Amino acid sequence: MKKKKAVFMTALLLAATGLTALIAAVAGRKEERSGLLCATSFYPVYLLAESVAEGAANVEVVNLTENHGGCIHDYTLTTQDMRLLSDAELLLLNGGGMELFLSKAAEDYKNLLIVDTSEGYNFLEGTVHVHEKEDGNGAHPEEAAQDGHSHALNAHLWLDIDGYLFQLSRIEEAFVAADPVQAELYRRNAGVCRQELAALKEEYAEGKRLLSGRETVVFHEGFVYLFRMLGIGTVHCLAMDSDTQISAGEAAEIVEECRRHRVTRLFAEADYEKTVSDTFAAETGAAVFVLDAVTGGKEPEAVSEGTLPAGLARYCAVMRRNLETIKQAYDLQ
Amino acid sequence: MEFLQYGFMKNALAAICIITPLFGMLGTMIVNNRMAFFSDALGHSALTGMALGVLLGLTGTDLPMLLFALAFALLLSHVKRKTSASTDTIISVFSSLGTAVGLVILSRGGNFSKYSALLVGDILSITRAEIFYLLGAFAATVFFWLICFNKLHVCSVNQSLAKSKGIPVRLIEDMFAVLIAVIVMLSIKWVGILIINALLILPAAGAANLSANMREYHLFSVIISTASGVLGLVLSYYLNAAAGPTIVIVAAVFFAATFFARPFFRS
Repeated sequence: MKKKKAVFMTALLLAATGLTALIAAVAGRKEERSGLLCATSFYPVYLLAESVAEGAANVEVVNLTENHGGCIHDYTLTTQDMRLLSDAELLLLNGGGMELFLSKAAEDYKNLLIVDTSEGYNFLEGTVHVHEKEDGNGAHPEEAAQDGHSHALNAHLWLDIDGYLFQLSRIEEAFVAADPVQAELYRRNAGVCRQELAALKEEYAEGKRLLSGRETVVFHEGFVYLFRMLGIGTVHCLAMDSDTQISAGEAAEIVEECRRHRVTRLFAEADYEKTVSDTFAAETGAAVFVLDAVTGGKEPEAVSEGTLPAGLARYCAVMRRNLETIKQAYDLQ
Repeated sequence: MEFLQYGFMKNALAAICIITPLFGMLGTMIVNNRMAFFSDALGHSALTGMALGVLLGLTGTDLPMLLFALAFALLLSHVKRKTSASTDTIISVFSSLGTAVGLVILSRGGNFSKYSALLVGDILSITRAEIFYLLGAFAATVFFWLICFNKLHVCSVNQSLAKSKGIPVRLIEDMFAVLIAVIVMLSIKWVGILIINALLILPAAGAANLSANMREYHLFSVIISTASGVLGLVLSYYLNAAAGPTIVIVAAVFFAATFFARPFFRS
């Protein structure tokens, strides 16, 4: 009996090992890489890096989070990501506490040049509540800072065009430093991007003249930046990108706030369930409009914009659509 | 062996080679003493432990998690002995409370996403220093096993018999509960709350299908556990899947194989 069991166990182990080896052999084809491999942590950074490096020889830009939608606070690295980080020479981060999933992993890659593209940028606080009268809810900046986490910052700076321009310069410098031979190309691409972003900024400034002075409630932290450009105050921001249910008290507070400020338009993010914003809409009689926070989506394709790098063209297209939606929301078109 | 050229895989493999035999060993006694639910509750209490650490403003949450789990384990054993309610009810109450308190504190201000990694675990981010902690836990468990295994075994079979032989039943049981608490807390960040119990229970349950005595039971449990760990890690690397759940799936396959082979060893 003992022998029989030993034979069975051995056979079982051999079979399992064999199967694993087979899967490894099939799945383990290694991609050969040469030249500069640049990893980006997150979609908006990826779009910029793609744009700056467009047309560069032997440069590959890969996004770690696979253009996955939504915010990446709760993203965890897969083995493929870890492999990518081991092979990469340059890692571009969004910063502002966005890349919690990299905080520990990055320490292990000593050869990796890590660039925080928002270093030195003046972030907004991660506000949820911007009223003068405070009432002990857990989202106050000073309290948030106490929990020792950098998430107290509102890290969605790419939704402010100035923030995106800031990141553009950081990324341009990173590529120039990592690959000085093609510096001229990087500078040229960045120049084209800068021009286009300046044009986009002008369109938003135009919008500000029409929209300034209004107030709204948003369901994505990043929209605070977006609305700031338009001079629209965000009296409340509910961070729907975290996977927490809102408490009943908070819900009541938002309804109160909508009433007090006579908010009639709410703005939600496309990736998140509209159910919560719809609930508020039903309660307050406000209408819900959906905006895109540029946190994920298709691989950018070079189509219409001609000389404009594909990544930036995608960003600008989304931002223009957002502006249109906001204008429509306020019956300006 | 392409996967071994990466530092993170070397570390993960080393950690797996320490954690899984340990789980295999502990699992046998957890299954025997019908404590599967107990270790699960302990895993859930990690949320509250972490929440306490956050409330106290500590930078590392490992220590509060460990201390809370120890208190939780001892309190649970105590209440279990004192009341007449059935054990699974008591454990369920503790488990739910541990989860709920943790969730209430950690989700304040919509911040739970910061901690959700704890649910799934991340074996790939383990560092050298942490491997040494695990090694320490491994040594402690082996030591406990050598000194106390027979006594613990008698307790699990028949408490009255154990008492009549002069075995300090309470002490032994509490020590075992503490040991489980320490191991669960040390490995929870790498394995994840949702599946840590599967890793404790599956290998032992698989081994029970084949074994006729304690020696076989332990041997098979450790073999199945280690094999699941190593093969699961390798598979997760090539399939680009999360490591912990892949390991659990492999362990479940082992369980199924032994389950269907069981009739052939019953004669």
